[in-house]
Parts: sequence; C-alpha cells; structure tokens
Amino acid sequence: MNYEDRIVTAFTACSVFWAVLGMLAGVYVAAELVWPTIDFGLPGLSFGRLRTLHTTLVLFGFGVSGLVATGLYSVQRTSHVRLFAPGLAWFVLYAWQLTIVLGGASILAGWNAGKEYAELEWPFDLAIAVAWVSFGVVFFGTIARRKMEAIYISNWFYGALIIVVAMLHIVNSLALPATFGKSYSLFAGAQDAVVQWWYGHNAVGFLLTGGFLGMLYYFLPKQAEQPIWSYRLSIVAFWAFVYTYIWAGPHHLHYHSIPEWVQSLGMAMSLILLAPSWATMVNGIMTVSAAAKKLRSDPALKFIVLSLAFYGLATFEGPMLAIKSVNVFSHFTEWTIGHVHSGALGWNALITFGTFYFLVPRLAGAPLYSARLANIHFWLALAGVMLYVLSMWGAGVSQGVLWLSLDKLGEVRFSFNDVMAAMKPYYLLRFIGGLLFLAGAVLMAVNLARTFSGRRTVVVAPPPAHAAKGLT
Amino acid sequence: MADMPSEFWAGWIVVITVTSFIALIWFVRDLYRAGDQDTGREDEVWDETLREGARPAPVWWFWFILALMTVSVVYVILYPGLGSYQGVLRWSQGGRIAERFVDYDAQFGAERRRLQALPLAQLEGDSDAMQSAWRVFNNNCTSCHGRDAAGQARLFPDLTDDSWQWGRDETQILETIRSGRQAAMPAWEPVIGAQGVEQVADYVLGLSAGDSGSPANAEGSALFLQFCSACHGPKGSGQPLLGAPALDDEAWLYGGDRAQVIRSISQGRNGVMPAFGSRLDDAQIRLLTAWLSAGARIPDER
Amino acid sequence: MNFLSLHRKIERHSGLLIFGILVVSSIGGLVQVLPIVLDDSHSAPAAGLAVYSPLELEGRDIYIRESCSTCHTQQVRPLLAEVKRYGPYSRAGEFAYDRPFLWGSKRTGPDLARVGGNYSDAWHHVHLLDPRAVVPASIMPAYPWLAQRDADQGRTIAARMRTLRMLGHPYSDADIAAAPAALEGETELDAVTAYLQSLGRSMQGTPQP
Repeated sequence: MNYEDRIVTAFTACSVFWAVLGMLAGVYVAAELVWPTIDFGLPGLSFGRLRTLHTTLVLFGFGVSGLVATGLYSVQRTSHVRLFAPGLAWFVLYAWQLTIVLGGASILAGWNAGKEYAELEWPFDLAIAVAWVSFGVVFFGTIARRKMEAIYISNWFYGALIIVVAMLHIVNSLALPATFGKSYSLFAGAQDAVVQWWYGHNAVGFLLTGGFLGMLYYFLPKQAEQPIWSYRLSIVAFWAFVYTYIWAGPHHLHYHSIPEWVQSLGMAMSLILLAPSWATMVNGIMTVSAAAKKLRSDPALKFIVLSLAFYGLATFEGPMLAIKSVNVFSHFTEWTIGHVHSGALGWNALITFGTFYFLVPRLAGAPLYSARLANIHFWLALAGVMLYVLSMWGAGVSQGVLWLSLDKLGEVRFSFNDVMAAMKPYYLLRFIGGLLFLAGAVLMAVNLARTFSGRRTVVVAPPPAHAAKGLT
Repeated sequence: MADMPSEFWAGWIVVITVTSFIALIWFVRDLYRAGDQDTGREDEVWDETLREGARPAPVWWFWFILALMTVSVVYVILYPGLGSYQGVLRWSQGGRIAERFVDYDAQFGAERRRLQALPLAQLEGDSDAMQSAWRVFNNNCTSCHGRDAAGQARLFPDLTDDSWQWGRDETQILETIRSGRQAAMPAWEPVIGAQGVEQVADYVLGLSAGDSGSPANAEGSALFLQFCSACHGPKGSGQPLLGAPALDDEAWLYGGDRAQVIRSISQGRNGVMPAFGSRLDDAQIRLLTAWLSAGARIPDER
Repeated sequence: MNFLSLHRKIERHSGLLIFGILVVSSIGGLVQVLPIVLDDSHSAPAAGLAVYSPLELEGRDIYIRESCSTCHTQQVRPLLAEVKRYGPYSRAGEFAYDRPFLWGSKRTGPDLARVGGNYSDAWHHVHLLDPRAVVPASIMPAYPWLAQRDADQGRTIAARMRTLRMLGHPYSDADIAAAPAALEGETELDAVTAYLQSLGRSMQGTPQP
C-alpha cells in the first residue's frame, strides 16, 4: 500500500498550467492599460472580463490546485497513511478543473456575480462548494486515519484553509438565482460590502496566507533538512493567526459608508495580525538559517527563502495600509495592487515554484531537468516582482498624494485624467515586470515537463508502524 | 455622531470582543509561562528528516504582540469600536469631514469671497485666480469641451471662439453653467419633407458663406423665413435667448458639411449642457465665467 | 488546565481541531458581520431613493457583466479633497437596492457615485463607444458591442425583477408586467447610459459635503 501520488502529480500539472495561463491573462490586461485598443473591440478580450479571468485563474486555478497538490502530498507523509478515499480525490480534481475551465469561459461570455474574487455565478458556486467539501473529506479522512499520535503543524494550516474558505465561500455566495446565469446577492449595499470584504480579505487570509503557510511548514523544513525552529512558536502563531485574521476585512472599507465601529475593530485587529505573521516568518528564517550551505546550491530552497522575505514584507505592509491615516492615501490606488502582488507573486507564487522544483523530481523519480533553467527562473521572477511592486508603489503613492492635493485657493489641483495620464510609465514598467515573471513561469513549466518526461515509476510507502510513534 | 449599533448588538459586540481578546492574551501568556517543560517532541520523526524543534518561543515576540495589543486597545478606547461606546475622542466620519470644512473655510474662505466679489475684468487679471479657474475647468469641463476648450466630437461647443449659441456675456455664461441648457431644435423632415430639408440646407450654407438670399434658391429662402427665422432670426443671426445659433458665421457645432447640416435640419438637435449649480459653488462658477470670458487660455502650470 | 495542554489535546484529535478552528475563526464574523447583516438600519433606503427602473436595472447588470467596478469605484469617502472632486460623500442608505454592492476597490478610472446628470446622454454614448474621442488620454476600453445589442436579449427582465422583489425591492405587478415593453427598442448602450445617469440621483442637489 503506497502513497497516492498520481493525484498530486495531476494537481501539480494543472497548477502549472493555470499559472502560465492566468499570468498570461494578467500580462495582457497590464498591456491593455498601456495600449487600451489591443482588445480589438472583442468583448472576451475587454479589460473588465479578462482581468476577472486573470484573478480567477491565478487564485482558483494556480493557487488552489497547488495547495491541493501539496496538501495531499504532505498530509499522507505526515500522517503515515495512504490517502483516504482516493476516488473522491480524483473527483475533486475533475470537478475543480472543470469548474475553472467552464467558469473561466463563463466570465469571458459575461457571466459575473459582481463580487470581487467571487465573480463566478451560482451554478459554479455550487460546484465549488461540492468539490471543496469533498477535498475536506479526503483531507480530514486521511488525518483521522493517521498513524501518528499528533497532527503535524502544516496540517493545522491546511485544515484551517479548508474549513474557513468553506465558511466564507458559502456565506458570501448566498444569492437568489434569477436565471441560470444570473443571481442577485442576498445582501444589499453596505451589508453586502461588509460580507464581501469579510470574504475577500480572508480568502487572502486563509487561502493565500493560511494555505501557503501549510505549504511552508512542510516543505521548508523538508528541503532544509532541519527541524522547524520552534514548535511552540508555531502553536501561538497558528491560533493567533486564525483568531485575528478574520477581523481584518473592514480595513478594505475605511472611510466608506459602513459604521465606524466596524472599521475601528478591523484596524485594531489588523495591527495585531503583524505578530502572528512575523512569528511564522521568524520560524521559517531560523529553520533555514541552519541550512545556509544548501541555500547556495538548491534553487528550490532559494525560491522558498525569497518567498519568506516577501511574506515578511507584505505582512508588514498590510497592517500599515490598514492604519486609517495611511489608508486615506493608499486606498483605491495602485499601491493596493502593488501590495497584493508583493504577496501573490513574491510570496504565493515563489513558494509554490520552489515547492514544485522540490516536488516534481520526487514525483518523477528523476533529477530536475535543469538546475540552470531553475536559476534563470529565480532571477527572472525576482526582477519581475521587484519591477512590478516598485512601479506600483511609485504609481500608488503619486495617485494618493495628487488626488488629494488642493491649490492656493482650495481648488482640486490635478484633474483625474491628468493623474491617470501620468501613470503610463508606471504601467509600462509593471507590464515589463509581469512579462519577466511570466517568462520565468514558462521556463519552469518547460523544466518540470522535461523532468517529468524522464520519469521512472516511483512509489513511496508509508514507514512501517514501529518506525513511527504510532497510536498507542 | 457615529453610526452605532442597537442596544442588543452593542452588548453582543462588547461581550464577544472583550472575552475573546482576553482569551487570546491568556493563551499567549500561558504559552510563555509554561517555560521549558513539555516542549520536546524532537524525537518525533514526521517524514524522513522532518521534525519539530523544541525551542521555546522567543521572548521578544511576547513583547511584540503585547505592544501591538496595547496599541489596539488604546485605539478602541479613543475611537468608536466597542459597540455603542463612542470612544474618548467622540470621533465620527461625519464629524471629521464637518471639521475639515470649517478648517477649509478658515483657510480659503476669505480669499474666495474676496475674489467672488471682484468685477469680472479685475478677476481676469488675477493670475492666481486664473490658475485655479483653469483647474476648475480641467476638473469639470474638459471631458466634453476638451482640454483646450475648443470643443470635441462635433457635439460639445468650442469655448474659445465668439460663436456662443447661448450668449457669452457675463450673466449668460453664469446662467449656462449654473442651470445648464437644453437645446430644442425640432426634426423638420416630417414638416418640410426631404426636398425641403435639402433646400433649407443649401440656403443656410449660403448664409454661412456670406451669400444671403441667393435668388437661385428661392424655395430654401422661403422655407427658412417661414419655419426657421422665428428662432434663428430672419437673417440667420441667431437668438441666444433660445439657444438658436447664428447661421451666418463659419462656426458649426455639429459640422458644417452639407450632410451634417441636412442631418441637423431633418432630425433636429437637442444638445444638453448639464447644470452645475449644485456641483460647483458660487466662487467656482464665478472663476469659470471669468476664465471663459477672458478667452479660455491655459495658464502656465506653476 | 492551560491553553498549551488544551492545544496538545486538540492536535491529537481531528474532530477537536476542526471544531477549534471553526470556533476561533467564527468570532470575528460573529462580531463584525452578523450585527451589520441583521440590523435593519443598514438596509434602510435613503429618503428619496428610487428603485432602479427596468432600463436602469438592465444597464446595471451590463455594468456588472463588463466588470466596470474593476476600475470605477462608487464610493465617495468623507475626505475634503474627495468631496471637492466628486461631490457629497456616500451614505449607506443610497445603496439599499444595490445587489451586489458595486463600490469597487480601485480607481483606475474616476469614481462614478455622483456621475448621474454630470454629462449628457450624448456624451455617454460617444464615450462608451470610443472613450478616446472625448478623453484623448483615456485608457478605458471601447464598448462598441453595446450599440449593436438590443437591451435584454435574453428576455429575462421580468424574471430578474421578480427575484429582486423577493429580496425586498418594491416592484409592483404592474411594474414587472410593463418592463419588457419598456426595454423595447432600447440598446444596451441606452441601458448603461440610463444606469449611469441614475447614479447619485437620491443625493442630487445636496449641498456639500
């Protein structure tokens, strides 16, 4: 009885595919902001629809597929059992990928629920709910059958991902269908806004942070071949993270027409959130510091360590942007876009890339096709994300200051259109940054595909019961 | 006054927030108090080399989260956050913006009122005022009239020429900005027929070229006198009171080629200038009027 | 009993772990979301707020279809320069009939909360079909297909209004019965324009802020 790894391979392949396609859509919409006529008057290439496709593909195609792949890989190995209900796991694969394919097409065709990062219409919401709960059954079923006495840290985070995202998705998607492709939110106006950002922020919190922290807690110590620096710190980081993150949503609605008390609580908890975020960063950095030598040669580890740096940066920037007096300048500007991408490219994508460079050779039973290509990818990704984030900082701070500037007589100093026109160089730089990042992802796809085509049949069995501290 | 929850929900918010927050503090403190005992699971091998380290959580982190919590607690003491408790500062969004407007008036009010009271000619000579006037224009008017105020899209009139269909003296401009304008040129094809439209078109094109009452187009001339002169005047010199443009000049808002003129006559024109009376204050309208009547020149950016 | 030993129990029992995560992660929502959603004062329409007409509703749904809120916010914050630029700051009661809300999170283009009445219909038509005809520096996409498509191509306006009525929007039987005819002969361009002209209507004429 061996670990069920073919499902991991399948999810990994899907994740890489969606990464390339999703980032391609991202680069294209970035180009549209520089050259607005390259949609050629086609509805499916129009910025609004294509940008929605971009976020859907990278979040739910690339991100979630990567999380499921790594979650299913690590949960078996940290539980010392084969996957529970592998048939159900394959159902999750097909259901999820079909949802992304058809859902993506539906967005291009104009189906849109109108809620950010939850644009798919109600039939897809139902499919997502079913697939997600099935994933939960497979995951927790495996844990329930574990041969280890305790549940490993990474599984706490993957578990939180599954539970909280299910809760958020179901509540935020509550809607009354009018037709097969159109529904209206159960919540209206200000109420809908509070629900949406409770969802939106915690999709970031529990998917892009919590889920990927699960990835970190397994793959970082594995690659560094070092124990997690402090188990004790992981405990406090985990519970403080689960408690605090969920409150932070209203900082997306500072100075909006929602009650002040919600905004204040959102801001207060956002500040505290810095502590559990950095606890994990410190835990990771201290873990890898014992393996400094390996860091020089192992491209996979380089990606993961760089992702930790961006994680630290983004989780510092977040609480700062949540402070109301900073938010006045940053809100609605490109700064937000820069912040999101320092997290999504710098942290989520890089750690996933690093993990895939580690994972695929193991799944294939063959060494990585080219470490040199992986190193080139590393530098392309670093250059790309830096160019992206720095250009958006420049653009965002300019917008924030220029929009609120008054002249000697108290008149608004700069017209919206003039500020917008001044963004062009930043948008061009961002496009180039995105292009570099995409180029790196393409190199990775080639590298991993070549690695896999040189595969040998590989099966890994759980260790015999006596080797582990089994359930007594 | 801030937007507060009802009594029940206020209690709910306070109880759950405070209880859970205290529990978090207790949890963090507990973890550190446990000291070095019961940390070890180093001998547990999760997967090949994967182990958990036995190090205690670093002490600085304890102070770090405590400091952040303290800041947060102070914040919700000062600002509204805990249910219907308004906070020591009694701060609210509405109160804040009202204060900012008081500050605004203190800073700019006197100067704005002074400028507003100036005669137009004097206002036009004040370069600071004209700079701000250009900004008012740029913020509110350029999307239609163009950045250079020369009109756009054959729909929105040129404001740099002398041909103003609603008039360009001070009171007329003020009125146009404040209350907006709605042109009402009816569709004439149902009345005078397609042939009549062409005859009138040729006639007014002649007027525009300075060729009044060409005998070759007697039908056009007669139709014009009968149907058009009430608004545009017998000689086509226009009537600002009705927004009827002069037809004896070279300015054509909707285009002066024959096809466009025929289109204007046959289907009519109903151009709209939105009212800005509730969007702009009196000082802004006055500034705009001065800037426009001075020729709508973009000042050098300073 | 301390928390560390509690955690030791939790991490040895998958049911407890699930329960623990569920409880701890619900607290924030119970405090912030539940009171807002259940307290009716947050869904009360502002005085003078009219429900969307069939044409405006159609326009709004097209606005959602094209993801306009990706680039355009509909939320004027109570900040002095923002009120000076756009008009009176937004009030919760203005959005009582907004399902979903369309406040947006990014201003690539200008805020639209107060755009109603700010431009003529003719301007919106030109601008939607070719933004650069009136704003040369614009980076907005052109939407030529809006002029080519009839409003309510799927003939679903009545179904949509009935759904909204179930959610509390005050449409009468007569309103719903008359809706298909009201959209007869209108294009999607007319619908989007009508929607844009309705934005901020209930606050029009309000002196700043």
